[in-house]
Amino acid sequence: MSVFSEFTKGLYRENPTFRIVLGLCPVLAVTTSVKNGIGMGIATTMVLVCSNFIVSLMRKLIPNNIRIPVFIVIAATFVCIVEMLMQAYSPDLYKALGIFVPLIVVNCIILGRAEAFAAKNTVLNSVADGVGMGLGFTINLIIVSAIREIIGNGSFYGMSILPSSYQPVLMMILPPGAFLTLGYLLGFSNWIDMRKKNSQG
Amino acid sequence: MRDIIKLGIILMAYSLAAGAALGFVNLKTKPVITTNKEAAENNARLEVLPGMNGGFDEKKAMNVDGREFRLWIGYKDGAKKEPGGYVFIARGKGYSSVIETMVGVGIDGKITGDKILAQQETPGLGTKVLEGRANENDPLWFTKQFLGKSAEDNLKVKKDGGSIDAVTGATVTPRAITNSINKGLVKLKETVGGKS
Repeated sequence: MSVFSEFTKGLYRENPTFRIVLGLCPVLAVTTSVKNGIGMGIATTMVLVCSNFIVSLMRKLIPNNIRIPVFIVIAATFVCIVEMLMQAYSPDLYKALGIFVPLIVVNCIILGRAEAFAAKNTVLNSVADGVGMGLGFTINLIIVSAIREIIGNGSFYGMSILPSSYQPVLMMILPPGAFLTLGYLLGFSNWIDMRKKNSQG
Repeated sequence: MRDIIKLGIILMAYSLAAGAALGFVNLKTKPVITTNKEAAENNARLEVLPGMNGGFDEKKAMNVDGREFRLWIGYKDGAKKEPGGYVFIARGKGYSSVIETMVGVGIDGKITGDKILAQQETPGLGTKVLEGRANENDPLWFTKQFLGKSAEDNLKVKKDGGSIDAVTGATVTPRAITNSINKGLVKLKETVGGKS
């Protein structure tokens, strides 16, 4: 597979949320507004690219038996470094994302891509995979948070877009709204898949 | 057996390298982070109590119903003789968190500014105190209500017979903030009353 196709597979073919169904926790937790969704997406992408880079660079030096703990050490180190750098040189961004950054350590996309891809592929392909997966994840967060923010708060990226006569459905920005939105989106993406298969076969 | 020791040593080497990298980044970023934090805190105090070019001195925290309210005295110039006003952080139990509000009080006992610093209330309900209301995109509408008020005003939300507008659907959060500010004002008057 070419580098470009490693990049694009994260967008649709192996989309982290709707295809491989990984990393649902942040998709549910932080998508109360589009702003939060974008922030979490960018932070996750940064860590994912760095950890894929290091894991693929050192893949021959990591003994198979202890690869999982080593991957976690690498991911956690990058999360801490990103957190400290943001805090020091971009305090405003840190203020907006601060609470989400430590959550990235437990995002299974990071570990999933290290184990399933970076440990077996070249540096260039792994970085392309990280960028693609990160971008796909960011787009998913934006889709889910846009639906929740518009219905639940009548706004998009903090700006009111619906007429003031619209009564926001509060439930959508509370936790149940996250499950409902994600459920419908997963159902929708599976429905598209089934239609595709039927028309082919 | 030998395998376990070997793998253990390799894992330790990775952890050591990670630790060293973290230590290095921490060493480089810590002074910047500390400066940022101090500047941000000082700016927050200046925001609620403007014109204090002489800086702020932290005083012994006030004890209000078992909660510590941090307290600063602000000075207009570097000589620090006459206090120019006070800043305290009111803390009140909301619906799902302790809400911290920084309050600036002039020497006349009237609120010069207030700002919600930390809260983890229900998104979309309690957090409305931080957002614009429908039809008026002013995120400060709630905190603005306290400007110019003093301990004599006995601040309460409208539901409790006071003058502070609360939020539809969420009573606990505005009440917690209002009561904590009121208690802080009363305590501040007791603490510094004799001097001003």
